[in-house]
Order: sequence, then C-alpha cells, then structure tokens
Amino acid sequence: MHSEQKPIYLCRNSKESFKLSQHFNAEERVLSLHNFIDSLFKKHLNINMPPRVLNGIEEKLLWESSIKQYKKSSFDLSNIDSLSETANQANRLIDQFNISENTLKSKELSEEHAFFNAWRLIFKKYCHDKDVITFNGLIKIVIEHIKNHDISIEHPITFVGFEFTTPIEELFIEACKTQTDVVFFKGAKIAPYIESRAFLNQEHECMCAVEWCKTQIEHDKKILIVTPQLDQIIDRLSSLLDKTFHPETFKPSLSQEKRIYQFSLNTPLFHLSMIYLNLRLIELGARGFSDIKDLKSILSHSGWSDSQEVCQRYRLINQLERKRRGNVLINDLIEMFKSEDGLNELTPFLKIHLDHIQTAHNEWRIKRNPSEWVKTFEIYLKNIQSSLLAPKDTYEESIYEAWKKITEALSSLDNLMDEISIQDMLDTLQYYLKKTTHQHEHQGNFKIDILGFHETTFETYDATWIMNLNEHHWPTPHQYNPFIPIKIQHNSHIFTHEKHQQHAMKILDKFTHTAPTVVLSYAKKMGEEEIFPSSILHTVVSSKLLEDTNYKYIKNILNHNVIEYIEDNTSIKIDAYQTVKTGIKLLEAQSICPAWSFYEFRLGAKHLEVEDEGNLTTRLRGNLFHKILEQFWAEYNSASLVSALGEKELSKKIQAITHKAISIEKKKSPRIMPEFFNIEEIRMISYLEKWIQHELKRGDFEVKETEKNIPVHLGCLNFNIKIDRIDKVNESKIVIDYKSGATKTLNEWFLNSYGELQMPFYALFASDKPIDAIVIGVINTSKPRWVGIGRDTDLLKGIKDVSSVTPYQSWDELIGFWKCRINEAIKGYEEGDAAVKFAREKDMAYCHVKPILRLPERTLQFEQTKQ
Amino acid sequence: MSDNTLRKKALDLSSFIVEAPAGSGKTSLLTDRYLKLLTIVDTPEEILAITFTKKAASEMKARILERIKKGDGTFAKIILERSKEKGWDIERNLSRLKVMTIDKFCHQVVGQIPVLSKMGDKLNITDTPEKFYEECVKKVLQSKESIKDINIVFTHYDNEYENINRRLIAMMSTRDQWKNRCYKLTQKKNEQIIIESNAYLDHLIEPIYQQIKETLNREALSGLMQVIHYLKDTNLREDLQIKDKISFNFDTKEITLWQAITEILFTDKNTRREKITAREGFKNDEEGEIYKNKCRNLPEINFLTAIKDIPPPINEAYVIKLKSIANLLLQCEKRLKLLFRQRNTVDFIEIIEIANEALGRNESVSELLLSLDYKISHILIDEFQDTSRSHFNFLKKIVDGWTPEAQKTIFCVGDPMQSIYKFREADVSIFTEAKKQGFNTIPLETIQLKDNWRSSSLIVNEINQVFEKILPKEDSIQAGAISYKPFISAKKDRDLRISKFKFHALTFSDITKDIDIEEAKYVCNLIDTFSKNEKIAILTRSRSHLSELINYIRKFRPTLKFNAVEIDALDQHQSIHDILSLSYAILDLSDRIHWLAILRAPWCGIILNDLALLFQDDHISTVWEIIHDPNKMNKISTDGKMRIQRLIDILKNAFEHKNKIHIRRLIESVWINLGGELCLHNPNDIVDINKFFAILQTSSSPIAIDFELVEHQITETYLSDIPSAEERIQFFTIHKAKGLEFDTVIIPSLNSTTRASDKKMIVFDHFIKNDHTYDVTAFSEPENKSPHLHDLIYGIEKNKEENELKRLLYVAMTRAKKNLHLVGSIKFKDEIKPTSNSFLSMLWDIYGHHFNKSKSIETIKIETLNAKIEDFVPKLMRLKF
Repeated sequence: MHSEQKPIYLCRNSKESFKLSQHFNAEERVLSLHNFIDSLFKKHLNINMPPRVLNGIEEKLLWESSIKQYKKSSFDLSNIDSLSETANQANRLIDQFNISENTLKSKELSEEHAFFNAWRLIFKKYCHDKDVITFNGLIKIVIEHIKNHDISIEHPITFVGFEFTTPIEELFIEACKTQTDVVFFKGAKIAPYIESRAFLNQEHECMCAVEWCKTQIEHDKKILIVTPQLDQIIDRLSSLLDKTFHPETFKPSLSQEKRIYQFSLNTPLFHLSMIYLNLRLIELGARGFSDIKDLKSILSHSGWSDSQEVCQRYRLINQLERKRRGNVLINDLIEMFKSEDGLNELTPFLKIHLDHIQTAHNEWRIKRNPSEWVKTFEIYLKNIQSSLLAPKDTYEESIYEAWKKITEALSSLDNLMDEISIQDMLDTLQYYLKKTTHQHEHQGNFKIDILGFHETTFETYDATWIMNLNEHHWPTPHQYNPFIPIKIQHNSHIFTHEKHQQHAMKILDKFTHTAPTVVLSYAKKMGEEEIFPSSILHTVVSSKLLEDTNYKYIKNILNHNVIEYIEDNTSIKIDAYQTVKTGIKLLEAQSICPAWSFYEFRLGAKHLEVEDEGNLTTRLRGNLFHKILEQFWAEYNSASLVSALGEKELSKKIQAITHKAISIEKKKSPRIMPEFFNIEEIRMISYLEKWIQHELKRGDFEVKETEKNIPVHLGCLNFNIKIDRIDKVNESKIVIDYKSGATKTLNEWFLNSYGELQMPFYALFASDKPIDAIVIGVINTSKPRWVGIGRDTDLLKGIKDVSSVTPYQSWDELIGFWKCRINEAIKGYEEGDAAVKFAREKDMAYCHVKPILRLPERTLQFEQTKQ
Repeated sequence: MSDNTLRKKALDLSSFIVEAPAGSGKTSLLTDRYLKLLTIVDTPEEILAITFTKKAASEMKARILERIKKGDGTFAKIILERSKEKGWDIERNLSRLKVMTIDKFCHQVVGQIPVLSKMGDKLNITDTPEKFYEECVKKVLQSKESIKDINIVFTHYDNEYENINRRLIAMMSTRDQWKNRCYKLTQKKNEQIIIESNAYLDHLIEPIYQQIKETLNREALSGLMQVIHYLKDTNLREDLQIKDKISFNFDTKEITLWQAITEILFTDKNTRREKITAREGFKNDEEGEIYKNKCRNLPEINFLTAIKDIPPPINEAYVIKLKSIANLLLQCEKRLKLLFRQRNTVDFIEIIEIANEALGRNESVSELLLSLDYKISHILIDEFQDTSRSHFNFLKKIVDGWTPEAQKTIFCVGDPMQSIYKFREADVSIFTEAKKQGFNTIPLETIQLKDNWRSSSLIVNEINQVFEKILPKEDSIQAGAISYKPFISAKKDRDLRISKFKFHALTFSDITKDIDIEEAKYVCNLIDTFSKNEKIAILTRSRSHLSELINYIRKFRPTLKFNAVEIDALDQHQSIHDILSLSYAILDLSDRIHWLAILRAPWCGIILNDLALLFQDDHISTVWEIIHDPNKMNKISTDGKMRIQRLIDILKNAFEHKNKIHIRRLIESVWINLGGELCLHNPNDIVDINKFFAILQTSSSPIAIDFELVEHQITETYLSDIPSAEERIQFFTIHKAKGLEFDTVIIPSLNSTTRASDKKMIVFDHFIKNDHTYDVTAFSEPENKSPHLHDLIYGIEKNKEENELKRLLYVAMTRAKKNLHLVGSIKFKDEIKPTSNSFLSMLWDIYGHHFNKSKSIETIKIETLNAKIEDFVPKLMRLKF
C-alpha cells in the first residue's frame, strides 16, 4: 500500500471536484471519477483504450434515436424527449444496480417494460456500431482491469461524497481497495445551535431569510442558505437579495454586476435572451414560417438586423397583426413588406435580412452532418447581422463563448450521428441549450452561498439557514422509474422508504454541521392549503419552534408624502380644424366618458383594428349586405319598379346581384375558404328576398339616395358621414340605416342621454332640410323589421310616434334634444374636457383606452374621498 | 338507530355510503375510519382517501396527524405501536398518507404508464386550457377534411363564424360528456337515430296522451274531432292538416295536431282561453258558436299545456345535421388530443380520460395497479356527491375485480343536499345510483346520519321547515333531484335564547334608483347590531352580488374591517395594471394605448396639456420617437420635460441592455427604477405585485410575454387577504364557504340572479324502456324555433340547475351556528314579485308575505349617504419631484 503518498481526492463529478479543489486552494490533488479513470488508462498504454464514453447529453440523444428507430415500426408515441430521458435514467439504474437481463425479462409486466427492453436492444446496437460506451460501461471495464491488475493505482484514494453508493460504485471502491488505501472524506463537523422557525407561507419565509441575511452581513458573517426548492425560489430569492444588497442591479446595465451572494444553480443557455433569440431566428430559417406572436417578438427585437430600424419595423408588425392569424410564412412576410409603402426606404436592412432568411429556408432542406449545420448557422447568423456574433461587453462575450462551446460540442456529434435533417439538428441544438448552464463568472469571495440540497459544500460558515423544509419538498417525493418493474426496484433496493428517509436525513445532517448557528425553516400554508414540516425535521431539532406566522409587511417603502394628487381633467382647447375619420364614434365616446375620446381620438391611442383575413366575419358579411342592397336600389329605385318585377324575376335579380358581389369578395379574400362564401350566398339571397318583400309591404316609396357621402362641419370638426339610404314617401324624407348584426332597442338607438349618437346625427345632417323619420332596417334575420321613430307613423309601418315612446311632445322637440346632445359633445371635445367620468360601466364595454383611464384607482380614490 | 350507534357501525370493515347532513361531523367520521383502517393494514399506502380539493386533503391529513400525535384513543395508540413496529414513521412521514384529490391520483397513475397512455411521463396539467381549445377549433374550421360537415353546420347556424367558433370552444370543456355519445351517434344508422329519438318523444308524450284518454270520454273526443273538422273547413287555420281523420291515434305524428288544439284552448300563459275568437279559427256566427261551446265544455285538461314543448317527430334532415355537428365536435376533440400530445400538456378532463382509457385497455386493472405499486385495499371518498361521471368511472376501474369478501372496502361520504358543483360536471345522481347499485361489484350499505352539531335548534327547525317545502319530495336520477332529509339539532335547548333567525324583506318604491346600494346600506346597519365578538359571514351566489356591499363599506364604513375571500382578482389592482401597461409598452413601441398609460401612471404623471401638445398632431410616430423629438418636447412644461426625461433615461437603459436579463426581471427593474414601489397604496400590495411577477415569469419566454395568458391569469388569481388579519366579518361566495361555519350568517341579495350561460351546442338525454337504453341527442337552433328537441332537453337540464340552486341555498343557510339573516329587496312596480331564478323566488311561498307595498324601505331607518361614483372625477396621482 502507498500510505506515504499524498492521497487523491476523488469526487463523483467535475462540479464537486472543482469546489473541493477551491476549498484546498489547489494544494491537494482532486479529481472527478471520470478524469481519474481517464488518467488510469492514459498511464497504462499497454492495455486497450476503451471506446469513447458518451457524455450525458450524447447518451440521451442516442436513446432518442433508439426510440425513434423503434417508433418507425411501432405505434405513434409523442413526447420522445421526456421518454428518452426516463429511459436513459432506467438504463443507468440497471447498470448501477447490476440488474441482469434475465431479471429484467422475467419481470416484464406491462407494455412500458416491453417497449423499454426493445429500445434498449437498439440502444446497445447503436453503441456497438458507433463504438461508444456509457460511463457505467466504462466503470465496469476499469473494475475488471483493476481486479486483474492490468491497471495499478499508485496513490491512496479519499472518496468524497460517497456516503451513499450504488452497487457498481461499491464494486469500484472494493476493486480500488485491492490496490491502495481507501478512505472516505469527512468534512468539518461543527456542533451547531439549531433553531427552527415556521412561517405563514413561502413568501414570508423568503423575506425573513433575506432579512436574516442582512443582519448577518451587517455583522460581517459568512453565511449559507440551503433549500431543496432552489429552482423554484431562485427568482424570488435573488430579487429580494438584490433589493437588499444590490439595488443598483435593478438598473439593467448593471444587472450582471458582481453580487455578495452566489447561486450554484446556473441559468440554462436556452433561457438567456440572446441565445433564445438566435435559436428562434434559426428556427425561422429552418421552418420558413412562424407563429405570429413569435414573429412579432423576433421582428421587434434589436438583437439582429439593424437595430436603428426597430421603430420602423413596427409598421410591418402592425400590418401583420392586423391581417394575419396563426402561422405566417416568411414568403408572405416579404410580400407584405413589399406592399407596405415606404417600408423599403425606412428599413433597407430588414429587407435584405428577410431575404437571407428566405434563402436559408430554401437551402436547408437537405440533410447535413452536425458540423456542417453548425457552419451553416454561423454564416446565417452573420448574414442577418445577429448581435450574438458581435459581443459588445464582457457579459456578451461570455455568452458568445458559451454559444461557441455548444457549437463545438455539436460538431463533435459527427462521430455519433449521420447526416441529419434541419429539424433534428434544431431539436439537438435546443436540447444542448436547455441542458447547458451558464453563469457570468465573478472572481472573489462571496459572503452568501446559496445551494440546493443535492449539492455539496466543503466550506464552513458563521451561520446557515436551511429553508423550505416542508414535507412535500424534502425528502423529495419519490417516483418510480416506469420502465423498470417496481418489484425489481424494490428487490434491488433502488428505492425503499427507509433508504429514502436515511438519505434525506444524511443530507440535511450534512448541512446542519456547516455553521455554529443553524436555522431550519418551513412554511405552514401554500395558498389555502395547509402544508406540513418535513418528516425528518424532528431528528435534528430539539429547540422550541419559533412561529412567525403573523409577519407583517414593514411599511418602510410606503411614504405617501412623495405622492401628490392634482386636478387634471381638462386639456388645452383645440385650435385647428380636424377631420374625423372615425365618424360619430368620437362624439359617442365623448358623450359616454370625455377621457375616452380625448385619448382615442385626440391623442390617437387607437386599438389595432383587426381584419381577420381567414374568416368570413360579421363585419365582412354586413358590408356585403350593404353593397348588394345599394346596387339593388340603385337599379330599382322605387317600390313601384320593384313591384313591377314578377316574383321570379325579382328573385333572379337578387340572385344575380348577390352572386356578383360575392364573387368579387371571393377574389379579394383568397384566404377565406370559398365554401363559406357559397353558404353566405344562399343565406343572403334568402334574407334579401324576405327583406325586399318586407319593404314592398310599405306601400309607395322612392329611393332617393344610397350610400350617400355627406360632409358635416361642426366647430373645428369635419365629419364625413355615409348614409345607407334616403327614401321619399310623398313629400317626406326618411333616413334608413341597415343593421345586419345584433340590434339594440329603440331607446338605446334614439333616446339615450349618453352613448349612441349615430341615428341622431344622421337625422340632423342627412339632408339640408329636416328629415321626417329615421329608421333602422333589421335585415339579417328571417323576421325582417323596422325600428325607428318619426314625425308620423304613417310614413313607415312599424316606426314609433315621438310622444308615445319618448318624454318629448313632438318630433321637433326630439330633434332639439339630439342637437343639444351633439353640441354638448362637440363643445366638450373642443374645449379639452378629458375627465374620467361615466355613468354606466356597461357603456364602456368597447372602450379600448381603459388602461389609460386608471379605473381601479378611480374606485379607490372615490372610496377614500371623505364625505 | 342513533347517530352514535351508526357512527360506530361506519367503522366496520365493510363498504358503506354515508349520507350525512351539514354539520353532522362528516370529516371527523372519515378521519375515524381512516384511523381505524390504519390499525389493520400492512402499509399506510393501502388506504386511499380521495378528497374534492387540495385544501380538503391537507385538512384531512392535519386531522389524522393531530389524532395520531395526541396518542389518545384506542386507534391512535395501536397506530403508534404499529408504526414503530413496521417502521412507518407515520406520525411524521405524511407522504405515506395517501390523501389526495382524484386529479392528483390520476396524474400519478398516468405518470407511471408513459407508453400505455401515449403521453410520456412528464405530463403537465394546465388549468387554463382555453388556448388549446381555441387552437384546435380554429384548425378544424380551416381544414378541408371537414368541409362537408362545416358546410352543413355553418348553413344551419347562419354562417356565423364567430358564434360557431365560440360555441365549439365552449363545448371542448365538457367533452367528457359528449365524446362517447357523439362517437356512437356517428356510428349509428340514420334510421336507428330516428327511431330512438322518436321513441324518446313517445315516451314523453305517452303520459300526456294517457291523461287525455283518462280525462276525455268518447263523447268529448268526438266533439273535439268535430271542432277540428270545422276549423279545417273554415280555412282560418293553416296548421291543421288532418285529411280524412276520424279519430285520434295518439302517436307522435299527432303531436302537432294536439299542439294546435292546446293553442286553441289555452292562452300563451297557459290559462284556459275564455274568449275564443276568429284568431283561433272560429267564425263569428251561429255555427262558430256551437263549436266554441264544444271547446268551452271540455273538462279541466291543464296537463295538455305540457304538449306545447314537445317537438315534431325527428326526420332524416335533422339526423344529417346532428351527425355533422357530432363529426365536427369529434374532429375538434381529435385535434385537441394531438395538440395536447405535441405540447406535453393536458387539462383535467384529458388526464382522467387517459387514465380511464389506459386502465380500460388493460385486462386486469388491479394487476396493473399492483405493478405500479398501488396495493390499494381501502378507498375513502369525501364529498361523494360532487363526483363527476368520469371520476366515478375511473374509481370503478380502480376497484375492478374487488369482491366484498376480499376485505377490501369502499367508504363514500357525502351530503347530496350539498351537491353544488354541477358546473364542474359533478353529478349528484351518482350518489343515488351508488346507494342503489353499489360501487362496481361492491354493494354499499347506506348509513344515514341525522344529528347536526353546528346550528342551534332554532336554525335547524327553520331550515327543516324551508327545505321540506322547497326541495323535491323524492329523489330522481333523471331530474338531478334530491329529496329533503330533515336533521335534528344535537345542541342543547339553551341555545334558543341567544339564537336568532330573521327574514328581512325590503320593499322599495319605484323611484329608488339603485336598490343594491340601498340594500348595502341596510346590511351595513344590520352588521352593527351584532356583538363585537361574533364572527359574521356574508354569503352570496356570485362575487358580483357582493361588490356593492364591499364598495359601500370601503367608502362609508372604513373602520369596519373585513376579509373578502377570493372576491377581487389581481385585475382589480391599479398597480398591476400599471406594470402590465409597462410590459406591453416595453415590448411594443407602437402600442400607443399602453405608452400613454405609462405616461399617466403615478411614476410619470404627465398632465393632459403636455400630452395634447406632444401627441395630438402626430398619430403615426411611436411615442418613443415623439418624446425624442426636441421640437415637440420644447413645447411642453418644464415639469413634463423633466418627468419624461427621467422615463427616457430609465427605459433607454432597459432597451440597450435587454439582452442581458430575462424579460420578467427587466420589467421588474424598470418598475422599481420608476418608483413603482413608492406608489403602492397599501404595504400588503407588494404580495400581490409579487404574485403578478410570478405570473409574468411563468407566462414569458426570455424575449416575449404571452399577454393573453397573463391577462387570463390575473383574472383567475385573487388578491391576497391580509395575512395576519383575522377579521370578524368575512365575505364569501357560497361555494367558497362550503365546509365552514360562522356564528352569524347573512345571506343578502336574495333577489339577485346570475347571467345565463350560452346554450350548449348539443344536449343529451336518455330513457330506459324494456331494459333498453334509448339515447337522444339534440342540437341547438340558431333562432328560437319552438318547440324544439334541444329546448326540451335543455329544459330538463335547467330543472337540474334549479334543484342545485336550492341546494346552494341550503349550503348557505346551514353555515350558521347562532344567527341567520336572510335579506331580500324588491322594487315595487305594479306588483310585488321576485326575480325568476333567484333565491327569493324559491322562498317566495314561505316568506313572500313579508314583502308589502305599504311597508317600504323608506320606513326603515337607514343611513342615507348619497355620494355616487358616477359623479366622481378622480385626480391625477403622481410622484412628487
């Protein structure tokens, strides 16, 4: 034996070996198990070098290929990603626990086991064909060599972190023992004072832990926080820690500044904005289309093409949002780009780069080796001016370095994979990016270490807080691997309750000895649910439990002296003429809530009007009705002319006009399935026939105008209204408006004191002389009808007489009321009235500027106003 | 048998279904049973306790643990000994107690069969599946494959894309109810469907015909036939097509004829027509008078009005439409399944379906479960009345192969009178069914408890009197009806002195503008009359019914502290709207609405004049461009310039470095830098802000936010209670209050109702005749054509809902321990009557007489504060600089 030699410290993985090495200040020789075995083979050149060992990601990818291979001849299985991970884990367990093939076969109980065994055969064949092995395979080989003394071990070994071992590790340790001294590392064990604390919920627990950190740091202590929930609370915890210790990091430019704390949990590359954007850009090139939302986030991102053009790109984005749904082809996007006036001049680079994406899509259809794909991606990203390839500071450089490492790893897959499709390459790239983590490295001493329960520390601290010790977090709920029969998992002791508890206990015990003062904490509630302390807590706690369930938020941040409330409900008057494109909506909005029209119409805070190009919408159908009726009445402009047509002839005429209008619309809307138009045509003909018949029951009338444009000047505002129709009955004029959608009541259309102003407006301005009735024709129904009001009910059967349905005595009085309403609205708008004031919540249903109106605050201010 | 004896019996090692009324100590019985079973099983995992909610599961675990830890009682002692002996560590290791919701159990089972379930093993469950529904429906409506069915369905529904789309999406959330039926329907021959549907109509019409035959003698019938022939001859009625008919056949073909007769004899309000006129087809002459008399002389046949709702017989055209709708729905379901698989996510319906399918394909479920380490020997189900059909099927599969002799037991506990979750597919008829037929192969012995330990005898008596009158007399699976089973107060009589029940009838005159506000004032005064140490709960059917009262208290009684449990969602919080606007603005420079919103937010606070000067002349450029334009900026106030410059500095930094941080952190950073925290109203607001940021985190990728999801989540996540507040007054919806008890319960808004939901696209029913089950399916009509099969079945459904509404009131009233106050308000117009479908309408026969037009609310002393939010103009709130 070699007791006089310095020992080698052997850790399970490179992360642990790195930590231990840091702990020893590089004064001791620390190796990971893998590196150690590697070194053994390198020293013994006389023995055959083992095949190349798959790293974790490669192993999983090979499983994925195996499952896909089997899938081809079997039934459809989705979600191969998670299946291959679980299968990979099952395979490792089989190797680690020395489960024989016979045992596996004999206990094959369900479809899951049969499938797994079949996949496993393919996996083994792959390994054989590619001349690669798994890490467990390597251990098996080295055990044999050590046992046979083909390999000699010169240094004593100290195993670190091997308190719990798998059978294969035990065999390895036993084999090592045959050649050298073997000991197990025992870290410093501080006798702690343990305090246990319970909190109302996890949020409180986090906040108190951070307050505790603050106190400790003020006393210049070095502290440790450990949690089994690190991945779940990391964002919350880091946000709180930053607020407490590094408020400057909330300035985005300083977001990557050095902290006094460090997490061991790094961010997967996939979750970094720069990487994510580039992955999406590659995906766009690969697929040639993208979901509209993703496309918007790509187009609005400054991390590619010319960032100076970002503001202008929104013209394309808005066009896209207005017209398209779901997936959009890059080709369509380019077409849209071309059709948008002036965009080419405003965003010349975007055009070039979109073309590059289109070219890439065309060229990426053939399979290539991973390394060729990597080169292709590099050229592509360069072509479209990705900022990833041109880092501007150390942070961006570190990301670029990480990206390069990934692409190198992908290039090395040439040995493992043949030529693959762009989709497979994308999947692989994505997987690598999800599995590879990154942390912007900072050197130096950290005051606070934050660890997960499956990690190790070799340091000692002044104080430790172990949090989230709840029953459902620790011991972690066990889930059997579905691919190994549970009986085998029991018999092989992969899982037993006792072992699980012991393991969990040991880990907790380890952390409780890292400092002289240790706090153990848990929460009592999760939402409404009562939650319980971890079952192993009692083994380490003897002190009395401190309950902090009445934690109150400290009002230190709330200082209402910094807030002022000012009267600000009127803006400057309008001093220039304006043309109102939106018709009467402005006045209606003003009448309902002045702030609405101020923001929407005066300041242009418009909601994006969506044109659903793929569907025959209510609006489009309404327009069609209007067009057809316009044409019809233009041709047959009186009741007598229509009556003169025979029933058949009338029907033929309606059919012809409808067919023509629909055919034109069909051509204009290629994205709508023609079948919808066909249905609409039949439907429209039926309703129109009913409608015309309904009109004929009126008696004599003349259609004087259809779709008449009328300019109206009121104060500073110029309106341009379009009247569906003006009829003449005897010497009286009737304004007719068609409604094809949902209709309102007579009161709502004509008699509201706020809101609806369209009909009153038409009544006042449709003609130079006062009109005598205003009527809505409800056309899109099997029971056509008139809703209207007028000087005389004889003008049109179905309309109402003013005095019978309104508080006004005469038609002229009603006209006066309408005039007054319109004048008030005009005056309010012109004078800059922008008060957030409205009578009924329901009238605000179509108000799109609500986010500016601050309605919840309105309620709050109202409630707080003293009576 | 006394309740005590029954409770002891319920611990026997056999299977039971326990019907236990409110306040009878169900949960403690369930706990007792669980503990008893722990004394006999080999491992704790052999007992599976299913609860309805996670909260109930945690409460039950806590109870079990408490009982074991106390170590008193025989069971606890034995359990502790066994735990020690077998190394269970049960007193600490709660993970060994299998107390969970059925969804969680399903999820666990499915996770262990990734291949069999075809879903892989790391399945996510979403509680916001609406986006998936939308996507799958959209895809189907754009697919050429379904064009034939689309054609038929769109033609039927008037080509209304938005409407059809919306209704198909709505159907996705109940697909567990229609999927199999639709599938069967598409497989059946058209003739078969016609036969079955018409047999259904027969089955409905038969009792009416029977009554006609019993009530009208030959003479009367012959007289009626003469009337019909007379009417045919007058040609005044087009709907009478009788050809040479000389007698009645009483078959489905005759439905329309009998409907015409009903129309002649009865008014629209179903009263016997007094004046028979030409409108009914009778001439105004002597002959006409003869036939009118024949009609008048017919005896009392009010039952005939029921025939008005019976539709005409089903024909081929109907079936073609029906099949197309079924096909389209099935297509959507198929797409949805595919989508779920692609996204590795399912909803609660799917998870149970996968479990059911996977278990269904396996010949021996128990072996499969065993192989998955589920050695279940005893199942306990709490709130059994709220079990859905698919849950029930799943549980039946779990116990497949169990025999009563095998020492395996099922224990169902519930109160059918508290079944109030129909909207979540709970089916109360399962309770009745299980009582009669057992649980799969296991017969269940019924135990019925009667004692109520919660309420005073005064309240118990009142509840008994009310519900004996308003709940159905008999159970009916078909009508979802549960008869009332009175309970007995187990409390001592001395309670009577301190207990109170009162019905408050408030009558308002026609001129009262808003009776909700008036009622709120009244309830506020009522609250003042209670002792300060009493816990008061105010319970209503829906959240909206509480809003007026809450607003009133906040405004006029700020000293009256209360907790509103899950009443206001995050979307009611201004600060959250502000952060949301900030997020929109940062991610979309062209979004002028949200850019203006951030300029008006307190951390910026730009006045209207400045906004007008900046933006009124340029509606095209982005706000970001405009505020960078020196010409524009020079026009505005110095203060405005300073404020905007501060905003620019902060946002510029964010835009330039947004590559460095996750989008959620970026937004949080900008918000903090702008002074968002300083603008909060309440120290507790930060809890809700953090909830919002957590939503933002889970709803975003590193470069984008799924705003639809965020907007949805903030309406579903409720503002926090003040964590330490244990307020005396609590506001709940009745659903939320289930399982709780309070000294005093006030149930206001008795006359309010809730908004009716969209009619389902298709509805089902069935009936059994000669051991054969006839299924019938009907689709909705675009317009109110009546009578119609869909309406008929929908009516039955409505009836079930009405029954459930009565039970909801029962749940509310049974929460009270000492005092129970019901408050109803009516506006007196021409008459005093309750709103239909309101609690008050149900209670009208009992308490309606309290409402009296002469005793209006004006005579009751209430505080009259009249400030109205409609007249209120808020100020600009902003940070001082």
